[in-house]
Amino acid sequence: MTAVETKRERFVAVDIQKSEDGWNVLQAILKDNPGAKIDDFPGYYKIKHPEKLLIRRETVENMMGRPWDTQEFNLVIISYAGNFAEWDDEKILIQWDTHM
Amino acid sequence: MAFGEVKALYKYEFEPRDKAEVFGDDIIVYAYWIDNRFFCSASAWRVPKNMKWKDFVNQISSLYGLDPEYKNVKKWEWFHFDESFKPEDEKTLIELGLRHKSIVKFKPA
Amino acid sequence: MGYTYVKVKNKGGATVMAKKKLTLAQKYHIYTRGLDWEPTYVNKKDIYPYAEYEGIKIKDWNKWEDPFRMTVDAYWKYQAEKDRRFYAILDGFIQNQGHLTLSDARYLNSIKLFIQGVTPLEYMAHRGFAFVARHLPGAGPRTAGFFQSMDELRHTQIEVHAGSNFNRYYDGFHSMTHMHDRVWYLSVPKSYFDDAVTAGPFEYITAISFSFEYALTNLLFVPFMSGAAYNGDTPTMTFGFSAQSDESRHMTLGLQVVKFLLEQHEDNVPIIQAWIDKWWWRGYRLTSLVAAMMDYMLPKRVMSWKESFELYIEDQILEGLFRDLEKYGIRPPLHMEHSIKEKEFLSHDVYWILFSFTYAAAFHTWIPNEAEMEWLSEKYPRTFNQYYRPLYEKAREVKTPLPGDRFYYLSLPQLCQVCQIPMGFSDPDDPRNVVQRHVEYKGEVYHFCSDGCKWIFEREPEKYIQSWLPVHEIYKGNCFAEPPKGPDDVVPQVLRWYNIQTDNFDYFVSEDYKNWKEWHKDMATVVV
Repeated sequence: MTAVETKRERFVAVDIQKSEDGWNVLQAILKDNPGAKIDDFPGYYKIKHPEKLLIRRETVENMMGRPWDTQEFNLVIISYAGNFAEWDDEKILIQWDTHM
Repeated sequence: MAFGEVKALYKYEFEPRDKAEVFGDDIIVYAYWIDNRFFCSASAWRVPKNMKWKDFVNQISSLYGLDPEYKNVKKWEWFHFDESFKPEDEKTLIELGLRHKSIVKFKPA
Repeated sequence: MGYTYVKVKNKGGATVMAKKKLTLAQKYHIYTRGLDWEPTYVNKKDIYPYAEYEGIKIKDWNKWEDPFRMTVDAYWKYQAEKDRRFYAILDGFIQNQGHLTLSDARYLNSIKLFIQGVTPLEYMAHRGFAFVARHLPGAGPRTAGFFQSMDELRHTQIEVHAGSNFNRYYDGFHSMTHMHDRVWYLSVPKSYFDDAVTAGPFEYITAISFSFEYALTNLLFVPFMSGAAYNGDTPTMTFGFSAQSDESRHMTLGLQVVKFLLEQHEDNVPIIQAWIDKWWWRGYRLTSLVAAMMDYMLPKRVMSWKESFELYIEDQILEGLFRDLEKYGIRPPLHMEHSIKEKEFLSHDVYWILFSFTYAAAFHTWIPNEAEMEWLSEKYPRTFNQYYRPLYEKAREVKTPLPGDRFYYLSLPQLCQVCQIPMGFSDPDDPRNVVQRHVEYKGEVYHFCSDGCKWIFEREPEKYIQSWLPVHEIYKGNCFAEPPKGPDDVVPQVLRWYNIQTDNFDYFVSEDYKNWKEWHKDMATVVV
């Protein structure tokens, strides 16, 4: 029997917990990344984009209604696909094909 | 056949944990029923080197007899590793050419 | 700390020192590099004796860039927060008798496998990363290794606490470390990690941070934790997601180390490639236990192994990660093609093995019910009905003297010399038979389940000729609580040595099932 040929996709992704904070971060990501798509799994969301995902502190704070430190991203992320191209006080950028 | 060497701060060389000497007058023999996935893998047996073939077959039948098809087979075709093999009931395993960690395979003739 | 002082001109024109908040990168640099130094009276080679023997060449450790810049203050803050949230949820679950809301007690057999097989590996990872934190010459990776060592110990702890709550009521949770060191199927994860910690620091970090925690971790954690969510297992879901958020840092370390090593010297490329080849296959074989759990042990299933493999490996790893690594001269792992060919067989082969030997296991198995077989045949239209359904139909008819009213494999299996799994992997080109390979080395014969394991052996035979194979050890008399009084006492003495109590045999003759029915007898229907 030969191997099954499946249609493969290349994308950048983040798996986010379905918590209160996770939901707000997810909304912020959707706002700043037109073209991002969500897959719904029990307990978490997978958000995907063909090239990159940008998480902006300011957008997240607007969603949350309170100050938010980009380090807090650690509390909602479960997994990811791509590289952390940038991570500073203002933003986090995940994409492939970069040197970290 | 080229084997690699383990990189280490010293010459990395050890005795095999399950070398033949460890088993003394016994050997480990594996048995496998060809084309029958009811048995998930080959079975492992510790048996004396001078066990008679017919006693070996009797011993492994304690497992293979669990398959209702087993008793229906009148004659088996045998292989030692992947070579055809014609065992005689009164010969011992060692006389038949079996060695430590040999595998014997069988299917209905 | 968090501020520096910079020279500024004040309104009067004088130059003064003013406080300036540090950026994340600056803070991180001070915390890691700023505390490192060049030795002046000791030779660096004596401080780092393991840095060179693997053949890895580093021109400049300062080229290391910290990908996940977590400072110590942030580390304590966020890790403590993760622990607080975890224990609060666990307490709530325990107080509310949450275990009664599980889909079915059968579900917990997947968690028993996890606690016995994976949790002790978290502890070994704690030790392995402590080694890395000491023995890598670069301050950046040493810091990352140090944080990871603490993460892995935290994972061990939260998993033990989660398992402990089930231990009050269910079989199989009582002796995880004792069993990990003795029981036949647990030598699979144990030998995997022993192989890693007996390698040097560079191979260890490639094996665990890169191959396991980047390439394979999602196959273990993410669908499995979703399975926990689907089946009402809040503690496992919570510890899974809590641990996985650390995994993002670990994954990043793995990828960063590999890219750093590949960029440092062209001589590193073939060494890293060989490690990627070895550790893909060893790690993949390890996760075959998860494949069986996912497809057979979850009363409410999330997705199939095949679907999970396609998403996490074929999409994210092959199309994502390995395309990224092409420019460094790295190709996808050897034997990856065989993993892809096996995806319609793997879970079924391994569950059939576990089912066959449940009399000697610290978990229960059962014949899938009709609805479950329908799901399996739908997810695996080319293999389940053809090769596996008939096995269960026959298993129902074959009785042995053992409890359970179904087939058990009443002998010992042939184990693979490398992965130590019973050699029960179907040949995708001839599915009525398993793959069997063998080799002769220095006058002794060795057997393997696959080309992948054979390749690993041939590359470093002196390691694997030392494998502690449970079946051979039983035959050498090393696995008895007391010397058996006769042939019928052999298996009971092994089970006592394993400390198996009421943990084995078919689910439907277990204490777990009896209790589950009793606790739910007021419900209109009992599931299954």
